[in-house]
Parts: sequence; C-alpha cells; structure tokens
Amino acid sequence: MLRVAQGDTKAFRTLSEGLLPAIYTYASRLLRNDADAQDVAQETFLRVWLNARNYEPKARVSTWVHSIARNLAIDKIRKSKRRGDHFELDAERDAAPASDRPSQLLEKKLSAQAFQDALSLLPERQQSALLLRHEQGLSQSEIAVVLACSIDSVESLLKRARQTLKQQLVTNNPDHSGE
Amino acid sequence: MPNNHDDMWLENAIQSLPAVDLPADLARRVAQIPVEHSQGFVWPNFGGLRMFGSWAVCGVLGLIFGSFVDVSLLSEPLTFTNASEDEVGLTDDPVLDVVARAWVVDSEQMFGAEESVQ
Repeated sequence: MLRVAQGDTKAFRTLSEGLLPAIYTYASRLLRNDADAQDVAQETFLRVWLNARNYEPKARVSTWVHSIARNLAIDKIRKSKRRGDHFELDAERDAAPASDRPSQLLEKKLSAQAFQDALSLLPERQQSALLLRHEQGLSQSEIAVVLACSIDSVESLLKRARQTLKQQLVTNNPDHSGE
Repeated sequence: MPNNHDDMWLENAIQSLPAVDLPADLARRVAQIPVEHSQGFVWPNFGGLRMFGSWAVCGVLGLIFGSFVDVSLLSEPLTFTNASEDEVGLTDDPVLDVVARAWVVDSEQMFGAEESVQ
C-alpha cells in the first residue's frame, strides 16, 4: 500500500487484481445491478488510487477498500431510491455445475433466487454484515470497521439477519426449514 | 467462517448464490486508472515542517519578486508642476508614468487642480 501511495502503478495493479473480484461481487450483491456494481467497483479503485496517501494501517487494506465500496454502494442505493428504480437480478447468472440435471438445476436456481430475494429484503447493514462475514470472509472486528460500529453491534446485526432470513425462507417455502 | 450450526446453513446458502463473473472490460478500466488519473504532486512533509516550508517558499518568492520593484519610488514624494501632462514626464519609467498621469487626472477631478498638486 505504501508503494501505491508513492504512485507505483505496478503495486496498484497487483492490489486491484487481487481485490477487484471481491469488491465487484460485494457491490453486485448489494446493488443487484451490473452497471451500478461496475460503477461502484471502478470508483472504489479510483478512490484507492487517489487517496492511498490517506490510508492509515489500522486495518487490513481489504477492509479499507470494502469500506469505500460500501459507502459508494449506499450512495447508489439512495440515488436509485430517489429515482424510484428497483434492482433486477441478472437471470443469466448461474453457479450450478453443468453436470446437474435440468430438474436439479431449476431447483437450485429457484432456491438461490429465493435466498437472494430474501437477502435483498434485509436492511443494508444486515446484508453487508452477512455478505462480508460469509462471502467475503471478513472477521467481526473487520466488519465493525467497514460498518463503523462496535463488534457487539456486528454480532447483533448478524443474529437479526439470520433470524429474519430463516423466517422469510420458511414462510416462502415451508419445506425449507433452514437447518 | 462458520463457527456453529446456524452459520453452516447460511454459509451454504450464500455459497449457492449465483457466481458473479468479473467483466473483462471492468478489469481493464480499473488497470487504466493510474494512467488516466494523476495522484498530483506530493509535497514532502519534512518531518512535520510542511507548513513552515510553504511559508519559506512564499517568503523566497516574495524576495525575488521584490527585487524587481524599485521601492525607492515609494519613498520619494511625487512633485508636480502646473505644466501640462504632455510637457513633463512624472517618472523615468514609461509604464509608471502612465499610471501616475492617470492618478493626477483623477486627483484633479476629485480635489481640484491646486490641491492635487500638493
């Protein structure tokens, strides 16, 4: 990071190549819109480049970059709400292996869709806490830095998010007990 | 990472989400950021003396600029005669002369010709 702050373009490239997939995924989950997620990811790394000198090594670089991405995503969400937009899930994305039979594929897709829909209904802070913890692999203390709150608050957010998700999934699909 | 049963189902559910493919164009655009955006000149901090350094630079520039100005003109009172503007050059410098003439004309309009001469 010190080298990035000194204007080392190779160091920046290494940093961005390492973190871009995670940041783009995080932005995509929050925004559910490819164009907005790309904007946020690009703007995030622009800010990293321009503000590298202001980075204080209190936390990992990835935590700092996630904080920037989250703030930009929140701005996008606010602007979209003002415009009255709603986010569409890209139906072409499918993580299921090609070897799955069509019926299994459909079942997985519907299940993932239901989970993503339930996830998107959570407040942004709960969504972020869940995604940062379970998809991005951040520790609770790192999530606390990203969300600018205490570790206790992170635990509380995660707990409420799990409960809400379970309730929504069970309500929408009684066969899915979440266990 | 999951540390109990509750976390396990959530972990599995999140892992089952559709993968997000990174657009190649986005990676290219991000890689271009250092080329397209300069970080700008960074003033060295000099161990916390950056502010002092800035003032020092201003002072040196002021001295250099000041050396080009003939300060003695300020200490010498301008003397005027009743001769017309075209007959007498007020200063030796043609540029300052034009300014001085304009000042004389303004003064005459404001205070009258005799008072401005003083």
